[in-house]
Amino acid sequence: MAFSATTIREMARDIYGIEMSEKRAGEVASQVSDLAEAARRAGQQSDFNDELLSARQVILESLDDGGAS
Amino acid sequence: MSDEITSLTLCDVTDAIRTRKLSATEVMEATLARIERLQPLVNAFILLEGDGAMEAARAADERQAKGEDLPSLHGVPMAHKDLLYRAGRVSTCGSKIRSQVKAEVTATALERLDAAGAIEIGTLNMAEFAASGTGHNEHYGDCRNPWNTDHIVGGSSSGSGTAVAARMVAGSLGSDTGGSVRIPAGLCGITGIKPTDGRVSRYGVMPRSWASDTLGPMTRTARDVARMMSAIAGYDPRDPQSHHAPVPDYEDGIESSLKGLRIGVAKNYYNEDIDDDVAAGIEVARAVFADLGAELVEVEIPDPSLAMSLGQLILAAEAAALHEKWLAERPDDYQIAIRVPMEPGLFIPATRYIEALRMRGPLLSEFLDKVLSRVDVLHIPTGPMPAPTLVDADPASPEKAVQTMGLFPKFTRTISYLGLPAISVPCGFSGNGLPISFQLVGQPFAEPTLLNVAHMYQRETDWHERAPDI
Repeated sequence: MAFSATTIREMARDIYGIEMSEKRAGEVASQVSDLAEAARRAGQQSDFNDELLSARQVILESLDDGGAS
Repeated sequence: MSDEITSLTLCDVTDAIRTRKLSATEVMEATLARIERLQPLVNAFILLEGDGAMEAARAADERQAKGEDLPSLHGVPMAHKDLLYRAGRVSTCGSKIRSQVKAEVTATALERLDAAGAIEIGTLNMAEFAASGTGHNEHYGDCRNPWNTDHIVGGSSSGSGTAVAARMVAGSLGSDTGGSVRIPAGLCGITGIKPTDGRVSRYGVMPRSWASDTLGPMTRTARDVARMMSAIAGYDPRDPQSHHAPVPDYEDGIESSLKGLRIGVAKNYYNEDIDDDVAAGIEVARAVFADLGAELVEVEIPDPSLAMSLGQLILAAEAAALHEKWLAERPDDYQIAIRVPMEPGLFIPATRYIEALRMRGPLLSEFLDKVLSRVDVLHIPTGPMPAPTLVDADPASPEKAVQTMGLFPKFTRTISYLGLPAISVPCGFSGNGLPISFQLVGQPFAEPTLLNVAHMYQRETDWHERAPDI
């Protein structure tokens, strides 16, 4: 999903009260699109069961395994 | 005599006070004299509280004279990154926005160092809101690398890196969200650890990113790190990420033989894009490990680019949430180079943020399975090159700065995203006399193993003993 400069500019003004030039909004839109795309692709790789596997859970399991000192 | 005292490591100075070879007062006088001489050159401190520190040192000597039990860091002068709160004192967080705000609470880590007898003498320079990896700061002045003051220290714990390397203090706490302990430790030739997520309480510390913020000691040696870790690690009900796992004495087992220990050598990613001097230093360090009886095992690293991107997304979203109010109301009070990279975080969709958080578990599992189940520690560079110049890394020239600093996060941010512990250890010098360093990465809560490997390496080498001529 690509964000447009217009969308970013309107969100900045209406949600956050931040005035942004069209040029700057375009830069932000590009950066947000890049970041969001990585997460979107990652999300597509996982299924519902992955939701149960939190990083905290994995860290605690490694303690139970005695893997770490 | 004064410089002889400040040349002592944290453990050496503790032992010297304990055995009455030195008094806490003598140590403090020498420390303050060195700071007075070097501060104009390296700009490590934001606040120096010399009178209070001298008073605390005299009180420490009086307790010792009365025969009271001495805690583990009795009388040791320290200073920490200026984002650890102490009730009633301003914590600037390296910013103009917080420059007049007094903290209402004291950080758990500071309370624990107080209880261990350490004496805090001031607060240290840092990147504004811990949001840069170079050490530039327009509000309080740039922090400078004591090995060559034309070069950066690295950040965001820049004052901690400089102060320890310049022998202004023997130990300091930094914070590490994506490399902010390890990068300045690496570029300044000192030893610094990013503990496992949840191992050290972040209560009373300025947040940068709730998901990945950690707090770690920066000192000259692995043993010094171990002593500080023993004082500060452990459960804290005031930090929801904090773990109940028992805290070992981190100096126990630090002398264990490395015979048979498996040290991972990356076949990909972490062996790419590195400077020749760094590559050479890493190779020589591996030869030392082999001489110590460790087994070097080549490992394939899962593609870290996804973890890099997701870590960046989480950081951007969380930092934006923290700064939303000020970004709207006080934009001109930020350095432009700090404010501009924060803005995209305001627009990250919640669904993407949640996906990035959710992927931490599976990606950590994959890394443990493919790498850290095969080796005890992974040995990689702390960064791709020695410290660049202040001019080349100046974030006020974004394109140039990205070109210079852009590869650093590859070596540190993925480890932060996964929540793993990692320690940076000095392993040589570049052709132009700047430190180079390696990083050891371990399983969750493997800090004792990291400290053991780092200490045994330091027993065989003297890189950590070399001092800048300043």
